[in-house]
Amino acid sequence: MRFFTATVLALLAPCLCAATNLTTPSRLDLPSGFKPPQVFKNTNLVRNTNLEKSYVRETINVVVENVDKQPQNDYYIPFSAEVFDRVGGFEVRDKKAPEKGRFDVDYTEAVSSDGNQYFVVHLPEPLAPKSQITLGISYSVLSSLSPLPATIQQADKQYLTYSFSAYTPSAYTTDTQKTKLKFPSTNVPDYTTTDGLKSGSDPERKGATYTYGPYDTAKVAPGTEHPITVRYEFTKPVITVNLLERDLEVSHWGGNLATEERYWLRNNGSQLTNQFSRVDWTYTNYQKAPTSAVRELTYPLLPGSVDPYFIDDIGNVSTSRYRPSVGKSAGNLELKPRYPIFGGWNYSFRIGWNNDLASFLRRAAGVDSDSYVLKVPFIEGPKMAEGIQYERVVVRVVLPEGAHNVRFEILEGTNSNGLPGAEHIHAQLSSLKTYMDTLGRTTLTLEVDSLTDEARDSKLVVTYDHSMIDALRKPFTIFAGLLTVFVAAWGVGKIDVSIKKRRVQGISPIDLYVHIAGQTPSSPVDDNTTQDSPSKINLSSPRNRLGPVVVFIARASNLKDHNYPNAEINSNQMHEYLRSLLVITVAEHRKQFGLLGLRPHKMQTIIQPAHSRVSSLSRVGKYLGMALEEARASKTECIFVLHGWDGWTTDKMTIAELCQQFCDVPFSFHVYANRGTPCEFYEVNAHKVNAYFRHMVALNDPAIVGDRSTALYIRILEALPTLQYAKYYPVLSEAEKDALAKYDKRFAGIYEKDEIEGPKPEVAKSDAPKPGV
Amino acid sequence: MAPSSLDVVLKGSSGRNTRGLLRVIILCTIAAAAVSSRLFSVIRFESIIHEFDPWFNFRATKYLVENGFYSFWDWFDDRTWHPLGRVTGGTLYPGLMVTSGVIYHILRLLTIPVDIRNICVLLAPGFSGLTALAMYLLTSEMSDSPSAGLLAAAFMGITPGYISRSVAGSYDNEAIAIFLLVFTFYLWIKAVKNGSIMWGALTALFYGYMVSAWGGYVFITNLIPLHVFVLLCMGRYSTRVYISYTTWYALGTLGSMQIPFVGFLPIRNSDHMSALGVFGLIQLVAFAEFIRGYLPGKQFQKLLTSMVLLTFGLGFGGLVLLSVSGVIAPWSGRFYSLWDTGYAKIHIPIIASVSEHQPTAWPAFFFDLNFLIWLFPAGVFMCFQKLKDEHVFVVIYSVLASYFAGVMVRLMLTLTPIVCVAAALALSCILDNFLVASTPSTETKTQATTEDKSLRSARNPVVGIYSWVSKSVVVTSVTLYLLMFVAHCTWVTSNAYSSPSVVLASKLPDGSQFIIDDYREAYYWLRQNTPDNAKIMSWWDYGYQIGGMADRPTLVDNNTWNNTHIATVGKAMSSREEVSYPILRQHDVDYVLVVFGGLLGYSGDDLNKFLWMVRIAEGIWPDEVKERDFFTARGEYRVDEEATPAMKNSLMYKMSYHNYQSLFPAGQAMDRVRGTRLPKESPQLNTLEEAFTSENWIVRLYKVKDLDNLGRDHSNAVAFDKGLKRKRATKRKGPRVLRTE
Repeated sequence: MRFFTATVLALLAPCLCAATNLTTPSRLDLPSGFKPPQVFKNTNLVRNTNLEKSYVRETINVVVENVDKQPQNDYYIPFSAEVFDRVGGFEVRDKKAPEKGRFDVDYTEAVSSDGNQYFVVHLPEPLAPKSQITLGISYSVLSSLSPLPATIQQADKQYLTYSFSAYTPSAYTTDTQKTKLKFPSTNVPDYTTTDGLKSGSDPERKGATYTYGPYDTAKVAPGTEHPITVRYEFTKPVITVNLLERDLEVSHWGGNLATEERYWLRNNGSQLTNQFSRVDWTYTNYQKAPTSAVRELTYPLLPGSVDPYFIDDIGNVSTSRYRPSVGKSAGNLELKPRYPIFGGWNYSFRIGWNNDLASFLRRAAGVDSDSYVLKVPFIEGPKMAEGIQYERVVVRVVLPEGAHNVRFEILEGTNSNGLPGAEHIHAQLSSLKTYMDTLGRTTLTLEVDSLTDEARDSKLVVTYDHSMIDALRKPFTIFAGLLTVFVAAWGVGKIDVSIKKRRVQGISPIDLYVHIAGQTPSSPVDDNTTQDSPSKINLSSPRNRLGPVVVFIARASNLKDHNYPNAEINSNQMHEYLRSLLVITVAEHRKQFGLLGLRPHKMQTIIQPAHSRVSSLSRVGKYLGMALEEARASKTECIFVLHGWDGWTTDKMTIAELCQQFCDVPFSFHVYANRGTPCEFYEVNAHKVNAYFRHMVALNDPAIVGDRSTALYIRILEALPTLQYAKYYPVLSEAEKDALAKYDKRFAGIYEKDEIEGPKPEVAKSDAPKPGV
Repeated sequence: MAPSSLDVVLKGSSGRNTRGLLRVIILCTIAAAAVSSRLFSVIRFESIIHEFDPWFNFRATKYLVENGFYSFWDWFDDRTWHPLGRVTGGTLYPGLMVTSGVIYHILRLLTIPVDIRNICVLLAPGFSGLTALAMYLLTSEMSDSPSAGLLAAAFMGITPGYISRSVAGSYDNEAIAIFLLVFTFYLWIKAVKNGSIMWGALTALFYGYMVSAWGGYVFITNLIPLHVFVLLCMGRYSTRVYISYTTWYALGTLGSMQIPFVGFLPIRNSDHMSALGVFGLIQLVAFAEFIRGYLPGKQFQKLLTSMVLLTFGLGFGGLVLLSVSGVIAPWSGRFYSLWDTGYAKIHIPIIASVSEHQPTAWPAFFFDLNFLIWLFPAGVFMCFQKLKDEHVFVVIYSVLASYFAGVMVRLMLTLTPIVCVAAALALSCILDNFLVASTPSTETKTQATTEDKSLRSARNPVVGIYSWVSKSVVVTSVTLYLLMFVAHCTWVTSNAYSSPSVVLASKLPDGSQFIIDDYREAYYWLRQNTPDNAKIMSWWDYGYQIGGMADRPTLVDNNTWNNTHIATVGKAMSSREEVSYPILRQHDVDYVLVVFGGLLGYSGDDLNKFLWMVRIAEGIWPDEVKERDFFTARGEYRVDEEATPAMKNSLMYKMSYHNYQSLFPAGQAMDRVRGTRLPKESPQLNTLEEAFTSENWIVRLYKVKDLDNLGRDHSNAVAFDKGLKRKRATKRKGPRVLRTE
């Protein structure tokens, strides 16, 4: 099915990767021993270091002057190679005109000689000699804060240390510079005081702000370091997301934007000296004391977010709570991890929710356009006072199947959006097959390293083309798939895998009369012509492979018959005698009909008076019933081969009863009329006999007239006196009566009743056809 | 009655189609009801795997899906039974996992990404829908009344006896096994009725599937031969029986031997011998039948007698010989415990310690089957009335399953299908007779006048219910019973069987639901914050859950294949620290997990199971662990001030109550499970330290301390840390060694 649809639809599908702006960030390779050309001078530099969050956020405002003869436009900013990869959201703007947007920045590989790695800022216009420009450089440094002491007691305060150089690293000489540190609180137990770098106390303290400098560093060579370490209280978790995977799934049909985020989270704060103590934690919680553990994450969701979930590897986290948005205000998802996350502990989880697509997706330029614009937050993430650092973020935008011409853009404002430039976001297109896709959905994957939660407000804009044909692909696929299934099912049903039934030699198709309940008795019975007989059994059905059920029956009576009033025959001898008769019958039958199928035939000798009932409860009755049952079960016919016309009984009721019970089984007698001449078999249709005795057909009915054997059989039965048992056995001994009653308990009363009831139709010796009713 | 447009739909051949369509719709509705009534736990909690064993099955399924079938088949799991490991691939019934795996891959092929967990959670409800269908087929074979099958399907769909093992999340072997059981029986009945090789082979096929899915296949292995045997004894030998049985036995046995866990059991284990014996017997009977056609009666009698004696003698002698020589395995312990309910308690405490192996209490029958249980005998009686081959089957099944259900609670599951069949037979008979709107009298009268000349017996017997009163009374009461049944089933399912037992629910004072999620809290903590191969020791109940949720190696788990290993854990738990610590070290244990319900009143905790640990440990080390030591002089099991020294010093006791007293004002510490006040002082743990305790204290994790850096005893080191003066130690005797015993 997939193959079929795939080949058809491949013809319709437009090329997926037309005109995109996908980028793979590359890094400039610098020669070993590279030094940035000394073409600039920093006349004034102010560095603001913000330590309020669990990562370091720095903004450097620097006045740069071109001291070269030529106009220059490449400004190098060095970082040591260990730090470089942890620098996130690097951005440089013209401080005077921030609305002009960020400058292009290239990243370089590490220079092996001095271990520096550079950001190369390309000024939009070359800076003329002697002229100045004020650069606003902002970035954050992840994982640069380390807890000291590294292990604490559970309820202790946590302290972080930060080390940096008093001289801001720069590739160029700096005339004056200073560093402002902003601490989260005034509790700063340790900090380096400098000697001889400047007059007066260094640093200057003002509340939670400490200022190092200003220093006059015109004579200091670039790259000179003067280490400074500060240690300050930070009794909050240092939340680090090792990896965030964010999936945004756009569904045009469902009008839905589904978001799922997977977090691998870790607290990088101080670890516990002892193991976790539940008692202490209960008290801490009770007092709402500050703690270095993550108690709860608050996740603001956009208005209109529905169906949020919070699960981890082993299922739903039952401790979360969602406060849905009211009106325009944001909803709040309060995520409480299963356990408090102390320093060094990990927690991974996933959350997700749905939004109405309409508030994120627009058709571009005109209603009929096939072009769409999707505007979503680049990352969202929990909003915590202590901030969150993301070591790696992978954003995946799953567009509808068949979307092409995909472009993305990150919106820029006048301020830093916390993201690196778009060219430093690793972007690629792939296709994701899910939910009965044929081609797979176009997926835009964006990867960024080293982000902070400052990027929460950044917006991602994705434009793509998606035509009507693309939208109809899936319904068509499903339709085609189902059609294929139906056609295949129909085709398979048409194949006849049955092994054809062997033709049984010498037996004509049996004319079948079936008595159906509810059929009006007056309807003419002509099964040879009636085509719509509903229960007509198909004898060539594959189940009938073994052939018909053939039962050879010979009967005799060992009661004192009226013909042999003094007969005394041992019943064993009688059975032996009857068995010998059956052997002859079998041989004769085979001569006439051949071997009827492969089913082993059965033989039964019956010792029973001629006109007596074979009760269905008696042994013989059950035996006959079982034979018919077997025929029914294997969907074949049942043939009773009778030795003589009275081979089993001459009681009409017996036949009638059996026929009624097995009206769906083709049921016939082969009567071996050995006593008459010639010795031949008469094929009697038992159902016809039954029908006659039930007055459903007359003797002159074509179905019976045309069937000589059946007619003959009926006549013979008619000729015999029935149900007049008592008449012929007037002297029934008590034992015999008992035996009879036991034998035929259910119908014992009927004989007497029949005798008492009104006049019997004179049937003896009467050849006249019975009138049908 | 005036012919209406309805008649066109309800009569004749289109009537048959209408009825067929209705039947399909009803069956689909029943299946839907069966599925949806099992979703309580998903709706109330979440899509989660329940209890203990399902976690292993889930883990195995994930392994199968991730690593493919062949590596699953050869799976040696070194993350359980540390340090022994377990040949998991060869010691499990793979049917369940393979079924989920196949479903998973089919959905993947259709590019429908469904989490394997959701497949596992919803497998049991899905199959219960199929079970209802199979039940319809089976019952329809038993009765001519079309209503019987539908009733049986409905009963099977919602009866708590089956729901107990098939709610969503209860991802256990029984989830698919009951469907296979019922369907195999249906195929078997079909085979016996038709005497066809095809049905026999299908029976064998599904029997093979059943073998791969559940150890309870032995029930089929013995029931079918018993059915055949009874048929033979009743003189009902026929080629149909011969064909179906031989086909089933030959193919089914071959099929079952393909499962590594079963292997050669079918020809070597006593549990399977009845099938083999009947197979031989039926050959002899067939031979006798064959000969009977050719020999005169007297010789035949002689031959038969001598043959029967000879065969019996040979067979019995052979069986004894093979059993004694060990070629045929003796009856398994679980088998003996089926006949002697006291057997397990004496000989195999580990079997007896499982609550579902206990004998069934009488109310459980009513609880699980409601009014079906008193319809059941009526249905069986009706089978006696007809007593065709298939009815014989019902009778045998009922007798056997009733007995087994009385012996073991969990075998209620095998009783449920036949109760549904029998009850449906009885109820359909009642409804068929009493739900006829027309009075039978008028019809018979008219018939009597018009067909005066017909045969007496051909006339319709004057049978039927005349009185509207009796009709309405019976129908109303039956309807009431049915409604009550539905209400009961819903209530039982919702209240008794829909708890995942991993997550506990309680009600806050304001009536809102409060979820106690301590297990997952602790397991997830283990999963996230311990090294990947940190060994966790816990009582075996939690082994599968730790493997599944915490993904850490365990010492023992619910696959209780090594009693000694479990006894070792029991010994470590029930001994003094000085004895336990070397055991822990020797087994590389990093963390010890105990379940403690004292704070919350959660009664299924380890202290309540503690006596089983002691008993099992005593079974292996009778000299070192004695159950008597844990009872007071007055024979009480106490945990308070008057607990015995053995109790107070046992690791389990210490771990349970470590630091617990500090939650309470001095001297007020209460154990809410055992309802006693605890000693003032927390027990002192020296060799372990508390690593994590879940929010409600249900799960407590302890880290095994490393050897002391200064070579001191842990007790000395702790005493030093506390600033206690070092006791004048008695003189050290030789170098310190790990105690190994």
